[in-house]
Amino acid sequence: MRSQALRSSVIRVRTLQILLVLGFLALAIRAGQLTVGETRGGAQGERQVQRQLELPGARGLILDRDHRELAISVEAPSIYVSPQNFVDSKATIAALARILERPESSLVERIGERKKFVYLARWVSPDQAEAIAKLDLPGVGIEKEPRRTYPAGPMAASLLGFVDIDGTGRRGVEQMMDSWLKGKSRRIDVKRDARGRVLANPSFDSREIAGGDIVLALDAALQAQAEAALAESMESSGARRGLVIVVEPSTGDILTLAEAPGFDPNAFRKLNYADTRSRAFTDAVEPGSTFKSFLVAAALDEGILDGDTIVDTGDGKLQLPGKIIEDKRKLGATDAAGVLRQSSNVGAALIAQELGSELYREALERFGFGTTTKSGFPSESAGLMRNWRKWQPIDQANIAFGQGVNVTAIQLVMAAAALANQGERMRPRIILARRAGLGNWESIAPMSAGRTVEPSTATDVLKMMESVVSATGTGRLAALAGVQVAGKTGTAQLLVDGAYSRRRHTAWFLGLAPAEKPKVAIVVALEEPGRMGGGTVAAPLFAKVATAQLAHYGILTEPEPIAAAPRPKQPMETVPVHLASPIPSETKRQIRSIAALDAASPARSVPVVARGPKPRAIPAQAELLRAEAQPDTGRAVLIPNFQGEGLAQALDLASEESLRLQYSGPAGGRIVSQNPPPGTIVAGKRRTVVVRFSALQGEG
Amino acid sequence: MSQFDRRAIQNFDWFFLALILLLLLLGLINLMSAAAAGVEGGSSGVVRRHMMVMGGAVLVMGVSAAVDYRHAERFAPMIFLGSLLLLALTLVVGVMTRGAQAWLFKGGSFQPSEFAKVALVIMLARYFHRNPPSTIRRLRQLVGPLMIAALPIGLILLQRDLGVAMLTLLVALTYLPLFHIPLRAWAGVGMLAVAGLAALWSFGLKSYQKQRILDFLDPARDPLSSGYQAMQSKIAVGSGGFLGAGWQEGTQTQLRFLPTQHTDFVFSVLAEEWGFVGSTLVLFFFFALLLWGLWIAHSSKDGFGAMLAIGLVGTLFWPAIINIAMVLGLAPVIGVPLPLFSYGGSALMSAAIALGLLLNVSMRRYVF
Repeated sequence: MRSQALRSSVIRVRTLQILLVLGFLALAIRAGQLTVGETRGGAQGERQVQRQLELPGARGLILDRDHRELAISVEAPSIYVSPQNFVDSKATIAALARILERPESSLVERIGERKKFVYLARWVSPDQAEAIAKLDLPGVGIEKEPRRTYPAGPMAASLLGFVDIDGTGRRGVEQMMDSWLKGKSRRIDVKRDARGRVLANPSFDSREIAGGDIVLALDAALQAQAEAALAESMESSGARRGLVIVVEPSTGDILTLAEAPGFDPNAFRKLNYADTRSRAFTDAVEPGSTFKSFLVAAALDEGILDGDTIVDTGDGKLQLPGKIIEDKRKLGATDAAGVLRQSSNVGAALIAQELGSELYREALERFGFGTTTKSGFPSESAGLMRNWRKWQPIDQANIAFGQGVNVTAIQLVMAAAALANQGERMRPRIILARRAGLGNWESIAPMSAGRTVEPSTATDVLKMMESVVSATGTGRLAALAGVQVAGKTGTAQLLVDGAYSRRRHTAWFLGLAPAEKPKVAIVVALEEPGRMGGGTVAAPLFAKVATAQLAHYGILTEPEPIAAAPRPKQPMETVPVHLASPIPSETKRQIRSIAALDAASPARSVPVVARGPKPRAIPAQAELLRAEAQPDTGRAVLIPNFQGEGLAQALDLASEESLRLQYSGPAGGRIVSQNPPPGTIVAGKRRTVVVRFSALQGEG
Repeated sequence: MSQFDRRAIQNFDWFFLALILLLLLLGLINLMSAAAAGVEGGSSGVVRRHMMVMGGAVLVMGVSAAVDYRHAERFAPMIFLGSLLLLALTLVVGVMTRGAQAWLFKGGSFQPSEFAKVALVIMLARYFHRNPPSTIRRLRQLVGPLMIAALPIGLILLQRDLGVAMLTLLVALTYLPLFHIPLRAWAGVGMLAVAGLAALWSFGLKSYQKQRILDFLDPARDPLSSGYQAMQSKIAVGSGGFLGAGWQEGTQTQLRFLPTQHTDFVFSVLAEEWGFVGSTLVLFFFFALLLWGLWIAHSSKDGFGAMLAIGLVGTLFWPAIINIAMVLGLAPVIGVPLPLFSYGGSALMSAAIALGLLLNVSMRRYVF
């Protein structure tokens, strides 16, 4: 019994059937049109899946000479957010803030940027990454990013430098060898999902694009010992800064470069950029009396001086136009070794006069002063030596004992190493060997930087420097048990407001051991160690460092300070030291001070005085001192590098060099540019440096 | 009649059941692929829950096929009232999800509007059984059924679920071609409808709803926000090609470019991974199922069964056609799941009830 209602509606049901057919037919046609007919959808899909990705190769290793790892690359987790999928809630933000130890407001700000992909925190700890992974928040992901890590922390940091957030080497070896260390980035085709995550990397040997590795000349074990010894000396002396450099004379290898205060390159984001420089390379300072070694070497080489020449320092005072040079103690007549041993300023000034400015300048240039050592180290300073033609007699005398000349510690140690290498100066060798990602090690040969003095001269100077480390010498605390040390102390007064400070100075010691055939050349410097000078504080530090270094060469020794010899009551006015066979005084060359010239030959004093602008009456001493306290506007100044400094440091730096600082705009952040540029030498009245500050705050 | 008739078993519609089970199986396979990548926090939960719901659905289908459908006519007012009460309850204690207050219990586990469609069809079937469509010749005779339909639709509108409200209206309108109302009368209705839509656009629609309609008209207008789904869906379907990328091989799908791919946009996964062949085959199965449903109506011996079957076909036809049209960029994005394919308990359960009742009508076509 078919329903009455429906029977009359049979035709209508057919209508429904037709509608059904039409509806599904339309969908099928549309499906065909989209899937097969139009290629656009597929192409679009392909486009949003296929991406080209810049894959950075891992940065190369930095190893020490025994292949201990100093800098390595690891993968560190970074937390990112894709705001599209991100569920923004108070609880989510609070949880992230708690784990990342960041204020909630900063996270909200980052996420609020509404980019497709934003980093919340980069390089978090594995624990933090794990905690966030556990939360399993939508739109919050973890990605591995390459990160530079220094397993030994702050060790040799100033030499190594660091790598910034963008993977660029900054400072030190990282900057110097950046293009070698940096991995070749390769563009590869990868598939990415809607969040921009990479799905599958095509397989290839990652070493193909890895950066090259390098081996440093540095010995990490010796470096660690030197850093510990330096820290100890800094602690006991209260010094503000200090450094120890050890070089192998025959190769120029930098075995150790310890600088304090140091920094941890792993935490570079918290550092002041200016504090990360290696002052040994970048800062030119006055070397003090250590410089006398090179004067004596030059004078010996030129034949002005020999071991027997009597240097008569008279009553320890030398009057020059505009200044009186004084010794701490009257030495009277002595020889070249005596000048070094007792560190006589008057003796050095007399020798320099005798040598003459042209020859002296040439000799200093051969020792490498005034030009960079060509180490390749970033921002290496050339130091400052003025044109010898403009040297006044007083300048020449000052330079003789290391004032009015600026050198880097690295120049100083390389020059000392030249004396230890029979007069041949080497370029500093920082890098011993290198290899490309898939290559073999290729070693980098030592390079000569030319001859400084004749081998026999070098031997003679070393012999004289041995007497410095003797009972009557200033460097007796540098002595080692059973090993003869050749050395020279220095106490360089610091320039404060254009005048040499009586209290602030740098204590230097320059030493070579063993003296007969030096294995190491060492320079030690301590800045502002209270009242202590080079012989008191730097020499014992040298002894400690040298002990460890020599042990490495199989020479076992230990510091053995020599007690001071009782001082002779009478200055050795008429007793030359090395007079094994007395020579008639007429044939013997004499160098005398002006004070001693009264009775002797006045003719000698004439050329000395004549080199001055105009001989004039020497004013009373009190008057002289006042004149010195005035800013010395005549003195040439090497414009320091203000870039990267804050306002306070910049002002300090400017006042140290008696420069005026001028800036416009807000003095926030760091100095980004300066005029004149760093390294410019200015003299006279042009003493203003215009700087510009970045208004940027905080870390990058 | 209450005892199980032997003839009912003899006349059991095995072909219809086979079609249902085939579609359910295809739906499960497709969902496994969609969920593999599409769900945050792992797919196994989604697939496992869907299989559990499927088991329940088969059970419910069996029950609604077994109990003679003519009981439904008697209980129709009660069933209808029950559905209205559930809708009203949702308004009071419902859970707000995706802008609509359409779910009872947290997490959208129970959606009364899905069941309201079936209840409405049962109620309308009873009405048209007593007032056969062939006797309806004037517009004013539609006032009664329109009032019946207006009750659940009104409540769903109060839940601010415009998509489902329109869908329910369409289900009710399935009966329209059966009436004997002259065409000129429809002209007036058409004009009224245009005026009504214009008013709705100006005053009734929320900005996001207007947004979606505009996005439908021009999906590239704002590819990164509301037009994103429509565009990604078209890209995914377009990536399918003739034979498709293969199961779990669709890049758009597996790389999660398409949001809600395991619920409302599940068909785009099918289209990308099985291509033109796979998607038209599924379309054909749906078409066959619904055509068979109309045949069940046609061959039914009593008016209630016929009217019930037509309405039940409507409850499956409209969501299917709108969902697939939406995926293919032929309709605006409204939250309508694809029956038997989309992940979601309430939709699957209501579909199971509808299909069970269709089996019920079918197997009892010779009973009397």
